[in-house]
Amino acid sequence: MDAKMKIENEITRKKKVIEDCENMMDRVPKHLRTSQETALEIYRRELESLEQELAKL
Amino acid sequence: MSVINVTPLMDITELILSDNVNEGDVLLLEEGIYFQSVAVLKNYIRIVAKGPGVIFDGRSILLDAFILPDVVGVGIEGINIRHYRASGILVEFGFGHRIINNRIHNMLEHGVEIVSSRDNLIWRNEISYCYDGILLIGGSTNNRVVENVVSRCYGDGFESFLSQDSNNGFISNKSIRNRNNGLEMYGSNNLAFNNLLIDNGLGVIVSQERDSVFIGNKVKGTIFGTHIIFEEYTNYFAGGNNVVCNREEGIENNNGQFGVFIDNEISYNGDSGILLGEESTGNLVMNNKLVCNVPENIIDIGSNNNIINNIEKTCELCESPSAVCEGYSDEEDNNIHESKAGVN
Repeated sequence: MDAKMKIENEITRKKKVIEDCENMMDRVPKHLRTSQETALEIYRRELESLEQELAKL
Repeated sequence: MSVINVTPLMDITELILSDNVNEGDVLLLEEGIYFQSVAVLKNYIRIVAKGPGVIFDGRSILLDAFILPDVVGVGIEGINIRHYRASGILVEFGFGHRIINNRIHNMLEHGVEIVSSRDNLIWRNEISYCYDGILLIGGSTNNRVVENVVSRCYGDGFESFLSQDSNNGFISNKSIRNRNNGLEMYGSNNLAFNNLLIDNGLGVIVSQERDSVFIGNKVKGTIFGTHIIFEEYTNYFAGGNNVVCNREEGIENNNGQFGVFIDNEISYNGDSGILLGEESTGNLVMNNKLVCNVPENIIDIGSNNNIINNIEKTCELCESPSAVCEGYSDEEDNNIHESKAGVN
């Protein structure tokens, strides 16, 4: 698989993770939401970084 | 530095943030089922299971079991992790973590995801039914991935994602029956040594940049490709590997340049043993033993490749790779210890 397709696939996956998590947040007990937000922030940064990588190609 | 007993009823993230926990402390986890995502926000915290029954269950609601953002030297040892929506253990901007002896299964994302991090040890974990088993991404370097078993994942067993994920070591791991690649090794100067890659969709892919090394590994039973080198990978080294009973070419060097392929045993593959593609150039293929690869043991349609001193045997009369491989059993393969997903 070439790098472009690889990054595109990963972007799709990451978007899905983020979207799923945002949709699930109501079901997460309140005291656990902060850690979910921490994880979400990491995935958002990762997504941004992948999009920048893709733009370079 | 102290040892702090932890039960499933305690909020571990809060505990770590409190003044009761300091660098170097050990959190000793009692057996039981923990419904938590633990964010470790202090350095040198060691989270250790007291017994085999420490289970983190995300109930398909929580994202990751352990999140290590921008911290150093955290240990996670002996924990069962299951049913999270993302990864079992997620590391970002960290270094020197020790992720040891955990059993991770049924993640929607990865068993262990290392993002933009370096110098981590990932040792003796058992991972199954995830997307990738262990993923190094976002400029992750100098990580040591040793003696892990990844099986039945629907992505890759082990992966360094792009060119910036370099200088990593994959040593003595087992990658078994993963849907995509046993090992996807992008980046420069990565090492794969003594790994067993069995019955994966594809064995190993090497791409982007240069100088990686693949030594003493066994690749067997792949379906869509065995050992593929592409994107003009430069100065690759593959030596002492055993490449046997794969459906396609043993080694397919599409357009790699100045690679060295030496002392490999390449047998009974359903396509050629070594294929040097049209755009490959300046590769050295030497002292390999090639037996009964069909149609040819070595095909070179590239330019300026050097092929020296290889031992080539054609198939015996009435012998074919598929017939030989059907009856092929070797003790090592039969004793592969796969993770038993769902057992905990």
